[in-house]
Amino acid sequence: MLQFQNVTKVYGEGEQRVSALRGIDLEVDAGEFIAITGPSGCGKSTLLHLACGLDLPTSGTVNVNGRKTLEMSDDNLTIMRRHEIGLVFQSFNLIPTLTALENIVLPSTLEGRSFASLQDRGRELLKQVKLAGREDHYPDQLSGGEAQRVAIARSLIMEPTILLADEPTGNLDSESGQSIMDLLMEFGNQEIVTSNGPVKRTTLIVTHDEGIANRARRRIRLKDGKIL
Amino acid sequence: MRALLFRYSLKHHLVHRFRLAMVVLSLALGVAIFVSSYESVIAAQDSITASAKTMVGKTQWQVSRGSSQAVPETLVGAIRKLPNAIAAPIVESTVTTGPPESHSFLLFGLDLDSDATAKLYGGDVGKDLGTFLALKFSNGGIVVSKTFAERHGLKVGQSIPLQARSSVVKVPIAAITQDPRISAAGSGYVGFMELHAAQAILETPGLVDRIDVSGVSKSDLATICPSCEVEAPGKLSSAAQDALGRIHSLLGVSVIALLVGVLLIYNSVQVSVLERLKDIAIIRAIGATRIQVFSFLLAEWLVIGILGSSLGLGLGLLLAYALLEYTKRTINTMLPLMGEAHVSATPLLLLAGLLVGVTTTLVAAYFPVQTASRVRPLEILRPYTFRRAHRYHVAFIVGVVLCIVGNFAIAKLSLSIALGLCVTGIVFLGVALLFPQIVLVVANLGRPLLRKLKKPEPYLALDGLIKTPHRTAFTMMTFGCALAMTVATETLVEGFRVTTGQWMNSAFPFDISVMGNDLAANVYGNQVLPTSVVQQVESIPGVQNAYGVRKLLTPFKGSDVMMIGFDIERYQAARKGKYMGDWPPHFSDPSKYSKFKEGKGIYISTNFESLYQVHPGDTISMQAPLTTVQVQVLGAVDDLSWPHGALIVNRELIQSAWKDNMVSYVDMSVKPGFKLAEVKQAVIAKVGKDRSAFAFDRQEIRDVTDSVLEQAVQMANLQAAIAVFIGLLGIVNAIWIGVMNRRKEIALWRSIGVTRQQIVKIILYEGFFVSVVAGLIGTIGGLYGGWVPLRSFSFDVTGYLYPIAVPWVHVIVVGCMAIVLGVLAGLLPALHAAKLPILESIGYE
Repeated sequence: MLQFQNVTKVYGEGEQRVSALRGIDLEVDAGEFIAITGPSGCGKSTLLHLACGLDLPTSGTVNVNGRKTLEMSDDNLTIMRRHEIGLVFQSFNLIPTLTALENIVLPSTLEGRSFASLQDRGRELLKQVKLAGREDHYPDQLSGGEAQRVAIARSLIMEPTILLADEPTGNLDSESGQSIMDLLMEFGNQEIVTSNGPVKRTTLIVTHDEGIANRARRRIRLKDGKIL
Repeated sequence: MRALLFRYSLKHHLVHRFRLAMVVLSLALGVAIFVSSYESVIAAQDSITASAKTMVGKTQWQVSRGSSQAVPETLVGAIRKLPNAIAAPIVESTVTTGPPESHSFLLFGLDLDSDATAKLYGGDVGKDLGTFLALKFSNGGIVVSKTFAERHGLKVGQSIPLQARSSVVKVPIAAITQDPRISAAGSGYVGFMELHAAQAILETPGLVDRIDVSGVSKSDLATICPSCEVEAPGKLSSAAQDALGRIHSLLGVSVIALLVGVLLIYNSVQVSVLERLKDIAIIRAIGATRIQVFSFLLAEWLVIGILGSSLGLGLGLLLAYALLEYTKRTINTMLPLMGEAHVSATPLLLLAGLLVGVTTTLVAAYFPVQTASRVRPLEILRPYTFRRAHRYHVAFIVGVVLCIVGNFAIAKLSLSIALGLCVTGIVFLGVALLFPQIVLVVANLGRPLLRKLKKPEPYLALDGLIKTPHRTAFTMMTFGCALAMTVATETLVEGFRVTTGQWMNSAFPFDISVMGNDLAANVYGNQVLPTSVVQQVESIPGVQNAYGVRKLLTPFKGSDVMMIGFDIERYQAARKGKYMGDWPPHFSDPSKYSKFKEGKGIYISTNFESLYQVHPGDTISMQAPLTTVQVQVLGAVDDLSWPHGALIVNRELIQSAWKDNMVSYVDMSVKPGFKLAEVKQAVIAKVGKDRSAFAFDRQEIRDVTDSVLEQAVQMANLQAAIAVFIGLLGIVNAIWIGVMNRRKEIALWRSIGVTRQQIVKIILYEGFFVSVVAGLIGTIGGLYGGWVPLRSFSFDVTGYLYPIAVPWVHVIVVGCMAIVLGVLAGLLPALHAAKLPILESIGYE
């Protein structure tokens, strides 16, 4: 599903050169639920960004569902992200001028589908993240936990095979954090029907919260850009 | 994408309604200026062309010697001998009604002896044919248009006094035609007479202005009269073309107004995109491709473009109604050419307006939208960002190159007006590109100085402006260019004023000029006076000396040039009486003077020299009605009589070769000790006793030429005023955006003790800085624009090269106005900034 082979990532040039990842080798199988932990600046988020094609490795290869991200065009990476990867950010990243329902169905509208035809699916996802009745609320009318639930619902609208969450509970209190984790656990191992048959969703969560990480089946610890 | 457009874009713009309204309004005003200018030009052109085509009937060809010379009537017989030929001779001239009231009207002389007129125009006049037949039996009577009759209470059977060349002739009104097309021709004042009766009034026996022909080929007609012009009906006279040319220049000004609009839209698009970069990054992160982002952002501005253009179309049509009246007045002051003209929202006009507005929007939006679509999502979504230094080196270099190329093209190449405007646009773009770097450098130099002031407001204002150097620069450019338009126009006008003054002082020794037409109502009127008026004037007490001047148009190299004939000995005597030197220069050189006097030599105007590349020493051929005249060019003089070039000759040459013994003006000097006003009154009383005569002193003539010029640029000034308004909207927009983007910063200032009053001052200083620089751009750019492009285009079209004259008063007024308006534009955002809630704004992201 996901493969990192001797991946390095370097930011900046000259004296400002920073190595975020150093020779990462990692294999993630379908259906795995992994927590990536480590101190600030160890390269957790960079690993996630490379996995979804938002960033490219300086050297080495990242394989997503059998394709090398370095060899893909920007458009192909984007379409891969749209269809195969669900992204959840620490700061929710909802569009402030769209309602909860509109935010959720946004990725599907990129496929050329009308909002009206997606409403039912959007409402269903809202119900699944326990926000039924909040369809017309704008992000600034939602609490942090609610906004993150909307973000999770948005990440699921295209039924991705990979779910990547970057510090999804980082901006939340512990109670909201736990309920978000519950949702990720629930959706993170769902079975997805693809053209190649049913596949279990793979989930990678970046966190520095040990309590959250302990709920994952596999843990990867990073330090100074290396897997411990 | 549709969902993105309607769900996302629309909502975003509805949140920022004020800014959207300003963009739509600026675009609408730009389109309105274009549409109104375009429509008034087209309507004027249609009206003039319709006038030219009235009573064309089945005419296929019009045989003439240009619009300036008559054709011998005998040619009609020669044409009629061609198989199937139908030929109708036409006399067409502007005639003035005699005292007590004087009105100009278009007189047509029709041949009613043969059936050609009926065959050619019979179908056209239709039910009104009887009216025209009344002419045949009226024994020298006239048929007048309904408009003419109604406005002056004319009735059938009454006599109307007409100013013939040498006397006033009373002509009975045979009928009043009800044909609305005839009332629409000219300025609605039209009359018809039998051909020979019209020739008698005009004292042109045996000559007609054109022959309308059908049934034969153009080549057959050219064979019969090789020196004739054979054209399809509807060709405009050179005076009409000249009048239209002046109105056409309005379109050029409207293009500049649109350019100002482009900058404002560019600014707005850029801000609208920049503030949504995070949204765009999210959309990109969740799977929108670059082309999708590019498409929906561009589509969003397409919708705004359509909205603004549609509003502009409506405003433009309303403005066109007002403009058309103005255009009619301007054109009819030169020649009574325009009658009924209507503003009509044709599909072509609507399409052109929409296309101009939408293209302007898309051009302005293209680069910001393209930049937004290339955004790398991760760079924006990262919780930390690297502070990026503003650099505009590449834009600066491109700007310098564009400025050099543009200026080189303007200075060295002969450009058409359209191409010239494009090149001006390139220079404009070049300055816009190099300006952000200039702003950055100047602001960085200014900051340490402002920091030394005891008050922090100017420093904080400058700091706010250079947070976004390109936006600040474009705002300054937008307002500055609008101001530059007014300075450029005034520079040209001032140049013309100075030249006119110099020309009149050097060429004309008269105190009073008498003429057959009212100069104030009809600048290009061709009414004449008999030569005897010169002696008549000289016999008036208080007149020291008088000389006659004849001006008439004559064909030269496909154009109509003006021939100006002086009574040379009388003219020289008048100059001596005023202690004036030689004019034309070196005229007293005996060999030149004798050649001139004998009609073997002439002087040419400098614009004639540059338009036709004829130089002193050359010999040129001129086509007189019955002969070809060869003359030597003795010299070139600055003369502003005619934009197509003038020839200064001894009037005896016109009398002998052109068989014309009339004068257009009688100029006179007043004896010392006599009052100008009293002599003028005496002249009018004597000369105007039995004919229409008008007398003007030098100042009055200057006033008339100035007012014609003022009228011609009035429209450009109105457009410039609208452009200044658009520029002001740009300042409000930019400062408002600056305030919105710095809400957090402003709230922080407030939290650490900056008072509301100080916030207002800071924002007003921003407006002040922008307007000071805009004022400088306006002055420098306007002077440049007036001297280089406008002067060059004017030279290419007319051959006149006006001297450089700085309109100081105008420049000072514009500078002060810029500062006052700029500060006022900052008032609304300033008050808004002062009222921002501190806690809420600190949390604003």
